[in-house]
Amino acid sequence: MDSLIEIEDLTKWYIPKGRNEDKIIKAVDGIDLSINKGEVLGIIGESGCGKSTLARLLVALEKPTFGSIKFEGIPINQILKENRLYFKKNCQMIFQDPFDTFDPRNNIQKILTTPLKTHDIGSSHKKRTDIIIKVMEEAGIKPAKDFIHRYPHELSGGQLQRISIIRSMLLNPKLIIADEPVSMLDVSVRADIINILLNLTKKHGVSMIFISHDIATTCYISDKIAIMYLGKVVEIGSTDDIIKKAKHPYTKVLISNCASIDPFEKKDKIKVKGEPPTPVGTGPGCYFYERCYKSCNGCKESYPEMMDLGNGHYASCFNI
Amino acid sequence: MALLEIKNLNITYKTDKKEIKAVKDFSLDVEAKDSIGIVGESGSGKSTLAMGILKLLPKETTKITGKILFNGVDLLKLSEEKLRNLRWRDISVVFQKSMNSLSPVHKIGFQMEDIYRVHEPNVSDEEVRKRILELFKFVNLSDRVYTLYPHELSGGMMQRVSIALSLIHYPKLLILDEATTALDVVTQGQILDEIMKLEEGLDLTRMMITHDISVVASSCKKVVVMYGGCLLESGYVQDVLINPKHPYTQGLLDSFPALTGEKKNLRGIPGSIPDLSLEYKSCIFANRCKKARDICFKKVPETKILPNEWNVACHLLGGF
Amino acid sequence: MENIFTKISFNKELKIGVTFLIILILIAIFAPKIATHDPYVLNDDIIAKPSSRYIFGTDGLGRDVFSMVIYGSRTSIKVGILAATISSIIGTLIGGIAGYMGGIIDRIISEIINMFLMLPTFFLILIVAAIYGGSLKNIIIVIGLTSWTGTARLMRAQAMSLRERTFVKSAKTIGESNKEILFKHIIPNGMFPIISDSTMAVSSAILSEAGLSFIGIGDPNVVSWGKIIAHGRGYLTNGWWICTFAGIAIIFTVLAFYLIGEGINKLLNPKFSRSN
Repeated sequence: MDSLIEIEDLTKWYIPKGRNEDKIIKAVDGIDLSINKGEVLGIIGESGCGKSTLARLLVALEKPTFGSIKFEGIPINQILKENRLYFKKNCQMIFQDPFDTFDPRNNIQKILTTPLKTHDIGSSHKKRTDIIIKVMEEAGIKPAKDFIHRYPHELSGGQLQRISIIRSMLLNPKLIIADEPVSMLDVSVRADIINILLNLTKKHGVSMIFISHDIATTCYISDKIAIMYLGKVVEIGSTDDIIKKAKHPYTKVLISNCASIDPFEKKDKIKVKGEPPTPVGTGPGCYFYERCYKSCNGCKESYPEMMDLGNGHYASCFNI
Repeated sequence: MALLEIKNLNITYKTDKKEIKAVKDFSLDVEAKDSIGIVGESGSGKSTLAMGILKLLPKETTKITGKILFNGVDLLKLSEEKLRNLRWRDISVVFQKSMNSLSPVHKIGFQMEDIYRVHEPNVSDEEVRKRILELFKFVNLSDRVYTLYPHELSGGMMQRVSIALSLIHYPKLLILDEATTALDVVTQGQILDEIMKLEEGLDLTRMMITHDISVVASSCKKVVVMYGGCLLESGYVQDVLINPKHPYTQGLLDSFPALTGEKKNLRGIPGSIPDLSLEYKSCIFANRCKKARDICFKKVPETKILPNEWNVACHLLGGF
Repeated sequence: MENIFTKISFNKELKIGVTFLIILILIAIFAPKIATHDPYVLNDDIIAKPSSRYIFGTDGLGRDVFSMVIYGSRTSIKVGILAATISSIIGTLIGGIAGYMGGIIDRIISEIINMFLMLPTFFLILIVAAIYGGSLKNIIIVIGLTSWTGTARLMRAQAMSLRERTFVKSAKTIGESNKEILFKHIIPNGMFPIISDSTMAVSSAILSEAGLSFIGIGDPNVVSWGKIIAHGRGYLTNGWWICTFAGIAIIFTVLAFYLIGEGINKLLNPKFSRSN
């Protein structure tokens, strides 16, 4: 399978003033990933695990400290220099907060025609407006004509997130990065947004990275799942493998603590010690060592290598 | 007699131009030692209800009618003086951002001592300290927290402190308003377990206000489903969440993806939340309900009482 | 739109300020019609008391004070508005670029802003006016070029907070260039506090001009309130009216712009608008 994006040893450190070595915030700490064309990759992690930083690195909103991101085999630094708009067109992001995604002073028409204008799609304002109306109606915003003159503050969160998805799809991108796209929406609206995302990506063969802290939703939408903990991917594999055959203790903890809407379902929650730590002064051992219920002495000596468990399932733990 | 009886409660916010009916004709009995979860989306009036019970809403801009009987005493008729005595001692509350109510420049133990003395001015230092350490043990905090400052604690620890603080005077009713929402999955699961465990030994009634049904499913005995300020369905969780009678409850449950079991398609509820400044002569959910019939648009449904304290406000159950 | 008008009508400061300003502008436009005498013509009635012939009396050279005050409004408004416009444009651009770009660019610009802040502005204007002559044009340009630091700092803060907003990030991922983002998103959204700030800058520019004229560096060819006061200072004991009316005119004008600035500030301050 062709891979669309390849990440090698991607690292983002925030070095506080004074350059104190101990206080470096290792938001993303050496990630290797690849995403194939048309694939949906879910990234799960608690707050502070670096998943949003990863998203920002992927759309080049931030520059990595080390490591490289290759888009279609070419490093993105090179693409940005040679053909900035090509990268921007093909790599779109959907943000967490739909209420803040759009300039409050622009109406929907302006919001949706701006990307078309930036990328020289459509020859006149009239033609661009026709394009957005067509796409809006396809995505279930009917009648689109009533909406295009409204302002963001007049729409609900669900409607805004739909506009956000429409805007990113307008450019026919090859990759969509969705950073917690439903976490700020009401439960009854979430399902719709997720279904729209899923249908659009499948229909146009777009790859998607779906970032969330919600395990159940991510599993619903993703083909492949990566679990992140303190800036590192601890386990990656197909959705089925992760849910049913999780190997890393942290993955197991997450899954066992995932609440269900079934009151009869009594799960044995795996207890962990302590609180989610901050990505400061980690290592040299396994980052999860202090909270892990399976930890042994070897765990605090060195960080475990990724182990190949077959079928694209990898985990980094000594106790597999 | 129930511990808390709410009868025909109406809460209206008044602004210059319009009146927003946040809670409409709401009746509920809460028995002593119950744990009851109030579920609703944004704008359902669940938080207003909590604030109304504590009478914490601004007097100038809100109108409250109906009755809130706590141990047979109508809270709405009590003087401010008597209410102050009641709050925290008999009814206490933990908010999502309760941690913000602690002063950042004083040690946690010191602040807790202060709060303890508000209602019990004549106790010895020894006793206060003993009580606080006992509370720390309840919520799984180490004694060390006593001498820490609020900023030294993580979100989960702060919320534990908030819960400890709310239990300081052995309250009869504890209201948790989205108290675990901002926490990570793992921490949330653990705190919920701790709350349930510590209830066993106490004469405590818990009211849990949340948008997350899974929280209610895993930690409450009863559930109340609110929408647009109205009670749509209430009863024991094993009845309501397994075999929901109201179309809204069904829709809400269908919107939650399940982690285990067969993969079913997610279905949301189309449309958006009702405009609460309007007067509704119909079922408040009618315009989003796919089962709505003529009667639903003509008449406000009465609450039907089914066996086992199961209340449903829907025309489809017959009796019109 | 309707909403904005109701808000303005609730805003006392803005209402009074705008009324004052309209009166002022009308006076400036119709100065030749309103003035009873030519303000430049000398007269034999020296230091005449206010009377029906000379409404505000005459000065030491026999010029009609009323007509001078009326014509003086033209100078003050011109100086105030033009100088404030220059300083706001410079301040907005510099502050916007510094705040939005951040990093090394921000550090350099901030140092430049600090340098300008430390300059004793009034003396700089004095020197420039003394060297290049105190024509009205020079005075406007010098005031404009030296008073932008406040605006720049305000805009920088605005741009820094806007830069972190999702809509700016989303504009970047869409592919809009930095220039487009700065002019389409950062500046228009950060403008509001600048508007109230510039209105207040108008009043300080008017005061600067009056001060310059007072010490004799103003444009000798135009009537200005500062100059009237400077002239009247010598006659304070026997001709109080010369200084008084010009002084009142300055206070009135400065107050008008200050009230408008304050009113706009209140109107746009989220704390106030949210309650409405």
